[in-house]
Amino acid sequence: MQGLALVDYDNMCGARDKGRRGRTGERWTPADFERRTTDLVDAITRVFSAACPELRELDVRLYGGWIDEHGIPSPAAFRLLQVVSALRGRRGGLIVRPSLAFAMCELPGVILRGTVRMRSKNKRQKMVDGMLGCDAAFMAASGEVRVGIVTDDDALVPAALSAQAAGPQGLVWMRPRPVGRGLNDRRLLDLGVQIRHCGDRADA
Amino acid sequence: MLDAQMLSQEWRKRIEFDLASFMDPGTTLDVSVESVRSFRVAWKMRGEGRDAVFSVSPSRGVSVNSGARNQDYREFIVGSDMANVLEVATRISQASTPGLFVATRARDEDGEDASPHPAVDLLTALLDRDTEDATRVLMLTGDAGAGKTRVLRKLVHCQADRYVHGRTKKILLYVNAQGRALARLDEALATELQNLRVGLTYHSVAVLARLGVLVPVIDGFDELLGVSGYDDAFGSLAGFLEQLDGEGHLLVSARSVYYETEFLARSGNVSNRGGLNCVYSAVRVLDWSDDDRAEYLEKWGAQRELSDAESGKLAQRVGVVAGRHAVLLSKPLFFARTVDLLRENPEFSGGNDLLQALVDEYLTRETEEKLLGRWSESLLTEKQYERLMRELAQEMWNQETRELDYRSVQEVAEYFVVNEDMPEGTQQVIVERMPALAFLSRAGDAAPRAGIAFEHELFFFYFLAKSMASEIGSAGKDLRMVLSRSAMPEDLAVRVAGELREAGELGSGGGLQVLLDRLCEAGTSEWRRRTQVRENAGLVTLALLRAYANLPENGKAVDGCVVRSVVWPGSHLRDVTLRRCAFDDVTVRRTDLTATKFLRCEIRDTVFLEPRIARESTRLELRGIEAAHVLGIRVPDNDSVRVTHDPEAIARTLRECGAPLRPDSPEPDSHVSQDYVVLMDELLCAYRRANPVCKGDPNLRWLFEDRDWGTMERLLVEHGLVTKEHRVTKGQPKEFLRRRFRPEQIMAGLSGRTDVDPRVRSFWRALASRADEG
Repeated sequence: MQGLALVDYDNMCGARDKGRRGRTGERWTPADFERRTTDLVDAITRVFSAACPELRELDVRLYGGWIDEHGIPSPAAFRLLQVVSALRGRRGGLIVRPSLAFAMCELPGVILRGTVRMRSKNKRQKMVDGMLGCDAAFMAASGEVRVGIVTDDDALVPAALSAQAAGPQGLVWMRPRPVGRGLNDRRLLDLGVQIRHCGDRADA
Repeated sequence: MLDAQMLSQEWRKRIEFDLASFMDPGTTLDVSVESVRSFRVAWKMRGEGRDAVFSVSPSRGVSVNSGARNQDYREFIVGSDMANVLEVATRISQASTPGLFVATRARDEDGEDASPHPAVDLLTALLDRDTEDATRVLMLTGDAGAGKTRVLRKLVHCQADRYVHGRTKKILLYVNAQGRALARLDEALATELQNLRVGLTYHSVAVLARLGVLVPVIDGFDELLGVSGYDDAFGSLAGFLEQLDGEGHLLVSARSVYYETEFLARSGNVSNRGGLNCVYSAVRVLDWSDDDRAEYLEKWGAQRELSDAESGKLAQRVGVVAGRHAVLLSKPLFFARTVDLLRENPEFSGGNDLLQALVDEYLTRETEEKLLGRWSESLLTEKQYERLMRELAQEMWNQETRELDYRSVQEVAEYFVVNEDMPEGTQQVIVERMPALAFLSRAGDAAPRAGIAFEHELFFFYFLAKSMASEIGSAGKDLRMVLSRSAMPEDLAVRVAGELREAGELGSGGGLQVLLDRLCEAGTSEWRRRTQVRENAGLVTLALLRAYANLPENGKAVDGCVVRSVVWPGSHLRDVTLRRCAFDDVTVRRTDLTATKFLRCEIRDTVFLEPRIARESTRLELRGIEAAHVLGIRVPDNDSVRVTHDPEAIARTLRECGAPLRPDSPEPDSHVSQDYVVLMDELLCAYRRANPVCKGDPNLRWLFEDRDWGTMERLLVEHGLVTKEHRVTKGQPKEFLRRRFRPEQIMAGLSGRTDVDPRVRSFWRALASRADEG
C-alpha cells in the first residue's frame, strides 16, 4: 500500500517568517533547513504509518513557493532540492520519497510558474493551496494511494472534504493543533477524515 | 536610434535575468538608465552592495564598467567577483581523478566525417563549435559498460585542467543522473553543486551555459526521460533547456538514440515559455579496438610493474578468453575485470556467460579470502553473498535509486541476517564492510554523505535480474509494482529473460505464454504508472520472444503466442520468426523489425510508431493491419535510415513486406496533392534534428524555396500546427517555425484516423480543398 502526504511546507516549517529562526530573528542556516525538514518528514512518516499500518511506501510532496515569475527555482527550492534527495530512503520500515511539488499530479508536465512572487515588494506565494487541494482531490479519486494532508491551515478544509468524498480510502489530516481545536473538526470526523497530531510549527 | 534603444532594452532584460541568479536572496535589483545605450545596475551579493554600468553597442556587444575595470559582459560574469569560474574549474579538476584511461574512440553520427576519433578529442572539438541558432544537445550513446561514463569524466577533468591553465574558455560540469531517485535534473544539479561546494546556483549554471562558459554534462539522460514520473522529470529537463533560450551546449549520455528520438518527439509539446530551441547530434562510443586493448594492458602492466614476460603471458591468456567471448571485446568493463582476474587466476576461462563467470569468480574470492571472521572463517557462503547482493539491488530498485543511504543499508542487512538466521555480530561486520565488498562502492567520491552503490550498473543489473526473474517466474503479486519503478534498461530485460531461460521457465509446455500472460496482465489496470509498466513489460516480452526463438529446439521461431496490452519501447526482434501469433492492444515504438517475420499473425488495436522495416527481410503477414495504424516507418538506406510519414509510401512498403492491407484500407486522402504530402514529409524530417527549424537555415533552403511552400506554411500557421517566432541570434533577426504537434499526430490526420486533433484534421482538409481548386 502506498501513501501520499501533501505538505504545506511553509505552514509546517515556518518559512512564513521569511527564513528566520523563530522569534529570535536569526537567519536560518542550511543546517536549520535540513533539520526542520528532516524532523517534519520523520514526524509525517511516524504519524501516517500509525494511521495506516498497511503502508509500505510513502511519497511526501512538499508544496511551497518554488518557482518564481521567470520560471526559475527560488532560493528556498534550491536549498530544499539539496535536502530532499538526502532524505530518500527507509525511515521506520517505510520507503520514503520526499520531493518538491513543481507541477500538479494531474498534469505533471506543466510546471507552474510564479508560485512565489519574488519581484513584488513583499515576497509571497501564489497558487500553493490551490495546487495542494486539487492534488488531494485528484489523487484520492484515483484510489491508488492513501492521501494525507499536512497543514495547520483551515484554508484546506474544503479540499480535505472534497478528497474525503472522492476517495474510497479516506483521508488523513496531519497538523500541530490537537483534535477538536478546529472549527470544522466535528464535521470532518463525522465524514470519516482521520485527524492526527503531527509536529509543531517552527514559528509557533 | 530606435534599433539601439530596442537592443539596449533586450540586453537590459537579459542582464536583469542573469544578475538575479547571483544576487542575495530577498534583495532586489535597482536599474537606472544613464543614456539610450547604457544603464546602471545596483545589487547586493554575498552581503556587499555592488554596482556596474552596462553599455550596449550593436557592433561590440556589451561592456561592463564596475569600479576601475572595463570588461566585456562574458568576462564580467565569469570573473572572481561573480561566478568565479576559475575556482569552479579548480574544484572540478581536484574532485575528479579518473584512473587508468584508454582513449576510447567514438564516431560523429551526424557529421560529414564518420571516421573514428578518440572520444574525448571528438567531443572537445564538437563542443568548441559555435551554436548558431539553437542550443546544441550532443548525445553520447553506447551500451551499458561501453565506457561512456569514463569518457565523460575524463573529458570533464581535461577541460577543467585546460581552463585552469588558460587553454580554453569553457568548462564542463558533470551531473550524474544515473538512477537518481525520481531522476529530476534540477535535483541532480543541485546535489552536484553542493558536492563541489562552489557558490553557483541552479539558475547561475543556466546563465553560464547560455554564455557558452559552462556545458552541463548529464550522464544518464535516458533515465531522466524514462522514469515513472515521466512528464514530471521531462518537465524538469525541458525547464532547464528553456532557460538556455536557444544558446549554449548540453552534453548528455544515453544507452541508445531511441531516447533522443523520444525527447525530440516530446519537446514540441512541453513548454512553459513557448518552447525549447534545440538541435541534436549524436556521437557513438565504439568498441575497443585491438590497439585500445593493447594500450590498456600496457598501462595496466606498467602500473603493477610487470615484466615483459609477465605482460606477454597475460596478453596471451586474455586473447584466449577473448576468442571465446566476443562480448569481452565490446565492453571495456568486462575486459578490465577479466584482466584483473586472469592475473590472479590464470585458469579463468569465462565460462559460457562471461558476466556470470566474472561474478562467480568474485563471489568465490570474496567469501573465501576477504569477508572473513576473527578466526579467518567465511562469514557468508557464496549463495548467501549472492542473496545479499540481490536484496540490495532489489531495495535500490524499489527505492527508485542506484545508491542507498546508510540507514537503508543497515535495514537490508538486518533483514538479511534475520532471514538467514545468522548471529547478530555478523550483521555489524557486514554493514561496516559493505562499501568495500566486491561489486559495491561508495557512491560519489566527493559526496559528504555518500551511500552505497553498485560498482557498475552491469553488476546491478545482474543481481536485480535474478530478483525480477523470480518475481515473474513465481507469479509474484508485486509484479506490477516491480515493473512500475523506473525505465528498465535493455541489458536488464535481456538478463531477466536469460535467467528465466536458465531456470527452464521458457521450455516447459506453454511456459513462454504463461510468462507473457503475467507480464501483459500487469499493464491492464488503470493507474498513474501504467505507461511505465507497459513499457517495461513490453521490453521483457521482446527479450523473452528472442530468448525463446533462440532455444536450439525452436529454430529461431515462436509459434502461436499472444501478446497484449504492452508497449514495445525501441529494442528489436532481429532474426525472429513469429507464426500464428496474436497481438492485441500493443504499441510498437521504433522497434527494429528489419529481420523479423510475422507469418499468419493477427493484430487488433495495435499501433506501429516508426518501426524499422527492411523491404527485403521484414515480413508483415499481419491480418488486421491498416496503413492508418502505422505512423511513420524507418527504412534502411545504405548506411543511414530514411524516415517517412507519407501514408502512400508507408502503404507501398507495407505491401512489399507482405502486409495484407485491405483494398478499402484507408489510403492517403486522395484529395491532398502528393506534392504537399511529400513536402510535409520533408518538413517532418527536418524536425527530427531540431525544433524549431530556422527558415534561414541554408541546409533547408530547398524546402523553403519549394513552389508549394508558401501555401503549406500559411495553412500550418493558420491551423496552429506550427507557430512563427522571431529571434535575434547572431546578426540579423531570424524567423523560426516551431512544431506544436508530434510528427505522427500530424500525419495521422492524413491517414483517415478518427482520433486526431481537430486542428490537424482541418489543416489537411484545407490542403485537400486547395488541391480540389487546382
